[in-house]
Amino acid sequence: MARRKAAGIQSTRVLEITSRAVAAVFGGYAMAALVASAFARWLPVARVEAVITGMLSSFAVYATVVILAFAMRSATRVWLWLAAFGLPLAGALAWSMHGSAA
Amino acid sequence: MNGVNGGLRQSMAWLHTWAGLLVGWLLLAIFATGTSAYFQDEITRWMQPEITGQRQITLASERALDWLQKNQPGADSWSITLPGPRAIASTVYWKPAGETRRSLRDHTITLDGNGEPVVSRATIGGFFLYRMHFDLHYMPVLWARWIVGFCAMFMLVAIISGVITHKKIFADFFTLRFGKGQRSWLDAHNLSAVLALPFHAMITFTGLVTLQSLYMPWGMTVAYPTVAAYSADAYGSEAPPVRSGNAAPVAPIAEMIRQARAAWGGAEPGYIDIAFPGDANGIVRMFRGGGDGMAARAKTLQFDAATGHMHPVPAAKGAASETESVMVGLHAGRYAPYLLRWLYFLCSLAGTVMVATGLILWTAKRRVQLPDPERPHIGFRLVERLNIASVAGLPLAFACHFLANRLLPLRMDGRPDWEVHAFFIAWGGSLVLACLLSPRRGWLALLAASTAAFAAIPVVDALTTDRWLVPSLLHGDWVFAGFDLTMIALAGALGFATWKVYKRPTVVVRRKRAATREVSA
Amino acid sequence: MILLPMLASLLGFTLLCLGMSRHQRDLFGRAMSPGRTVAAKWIGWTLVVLAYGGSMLIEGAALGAVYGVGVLTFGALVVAFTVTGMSR
Repeated sequence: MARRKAAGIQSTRVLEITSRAVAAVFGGYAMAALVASAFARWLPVARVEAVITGMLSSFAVYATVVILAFAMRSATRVWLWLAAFGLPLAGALAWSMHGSAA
Repeated sequence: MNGVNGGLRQSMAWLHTWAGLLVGWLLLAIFATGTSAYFQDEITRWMQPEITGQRQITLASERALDWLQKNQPGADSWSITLPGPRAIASTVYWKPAGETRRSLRDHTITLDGNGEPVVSRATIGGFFLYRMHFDLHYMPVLWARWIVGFCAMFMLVAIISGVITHKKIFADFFTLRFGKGQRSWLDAHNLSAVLALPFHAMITFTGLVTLQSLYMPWGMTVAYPTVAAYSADAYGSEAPPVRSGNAAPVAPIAEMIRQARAAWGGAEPGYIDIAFPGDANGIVRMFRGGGDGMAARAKTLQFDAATGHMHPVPAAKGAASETESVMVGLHAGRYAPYLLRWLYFLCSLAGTVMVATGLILWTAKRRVQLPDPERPHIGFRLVERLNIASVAGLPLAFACHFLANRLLPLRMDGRPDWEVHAFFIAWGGSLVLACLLSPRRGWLALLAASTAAFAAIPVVDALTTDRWLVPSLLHGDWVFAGFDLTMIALAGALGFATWKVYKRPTVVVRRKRAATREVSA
Repeated sequence: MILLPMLASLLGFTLLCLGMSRHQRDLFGRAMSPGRTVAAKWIGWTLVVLAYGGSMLIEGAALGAVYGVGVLTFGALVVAFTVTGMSR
């Protein structure tokens, strides 16, 4: 009996870990991509310099998001922070790209 | 702050374990091949014992061009990979006139310093191990690079989480206790990780940077309308040449090399390609060879092929471009002279040991937590077998690859491919053996086989070539002697490991709610 | 020339190791006097810093920074293995 209980992990825990993992792997990549794009678009240096700076920084951003995704108090918090940073950034980028396309 | 597994340290320990475990076996292969890649030129030379001679860039270029002029006069383009500081043969490629598909592999030949085609066993040399490091094998290159990048990202996370979680990073700095089971493996893992930590952090980050245009193209797509526009800004480009139809032989290459050396502050060219040789509009491009200067992407120089006139040198790069270039250069280490190269090798070897001890540590730790040590759960058994197949099987694969170079018939169809197949046949066989034998027998069998295989290499060398250890030492041929000595050292290390496993007392594990029982490890 | 920083790295890490009570007990069977321990740590750190700085002086800033890392890693590994071998 004790073995059966120890052998099974609660489904809530699986859900929490999966949520953090998805946030880390996909949310992290999205955040890194957004930061890279933001640097490329708005850094006040030569265009190629801005793009490369963005690419170089993106990996540090990705790693940071992954660490935080497992260090924060709950999976929900991770998603909230991702949204808090990511959505405005994405919105600003989209607006900036549409503005110049017009 | 509470994370996924409790406090910060525990959460980072959890993350470190999972990040390391999920990609550990592949990382082992990536580290091992990366380690060997620092000596890829030497490996290539060892795998072609028929080639002798000295390296002389200008002479090699002239002779290569003579050969191309004589044998491929009407080609659309010629390319010459010149011998680097550590290699002696040139490889020339040509693209026949009018051919649209670039299949370089069909139109290539290796020339020695005198411009004569090399008569040597067909082999891909150290290049296979170098390419496997990021292109893996038997799969499309793009998939492999994504997989390797994924592993590299996990590695970066493992490094950061490992540092956060390591409690006594200074107190345990020099500590390596033998014979204490799980504690010993932890010490070995910590030692190999911490003592070479700057290298590990650098190599992982720069590895990602090397392929950053693949992994993170978004800045590029947001700022530039096309990839070509970005490339033009980043790498500089002139309009591609067009055939004029007026014949004009290629001007003396020695003079162009002299100008290139002057522009590069003494560095030698490593690669030359000529578009439309023999045409008045032909363009010669020279790329700087490794061995001077840390920045990987040095200025490419262009010349008019017919007159030898050098085009204006491209402008200096900005800080970010220069940083990226240096990072790529740091990762590949092509600039490194021999002592520094050995230090790179030492650190990289430490990294391989770090991954291996980490994987073994996982089983060592979980073994004492098993409710029934005689019947571990499937996850444990899977990890244990994969550990055996990788940690003991990979060395066997390397050794079999080198042995295949010496033992396969000299004239054989697809010889280079079969040298590579030998690597994977040995590795696959290790996996099969690891699954069939008990863990202890599996470790013993594969470690003993690896020891024997590495020890056999100098012997086979003596039997099949005249450039084996003793003549090489007598002639001061350090590439060949060094290779054989390294094989002996590896055999020694693996033999030591085999002996340790053999002498290891059977592990005594306390079973829950039962008397003490003996379990063989 | 780079051998000097390598030597400094070896000596520096040896002293740093000796400045740790755990290794004093392993190697000498007892602890060293507190004065000597502090001295070992100070001199050890100085030598390690000199090893790194020396690499940069000898090989130039960029190349030297890389050599420095290699030199320190080499020194630390040699000391760690020697201490392990001696304390058994």
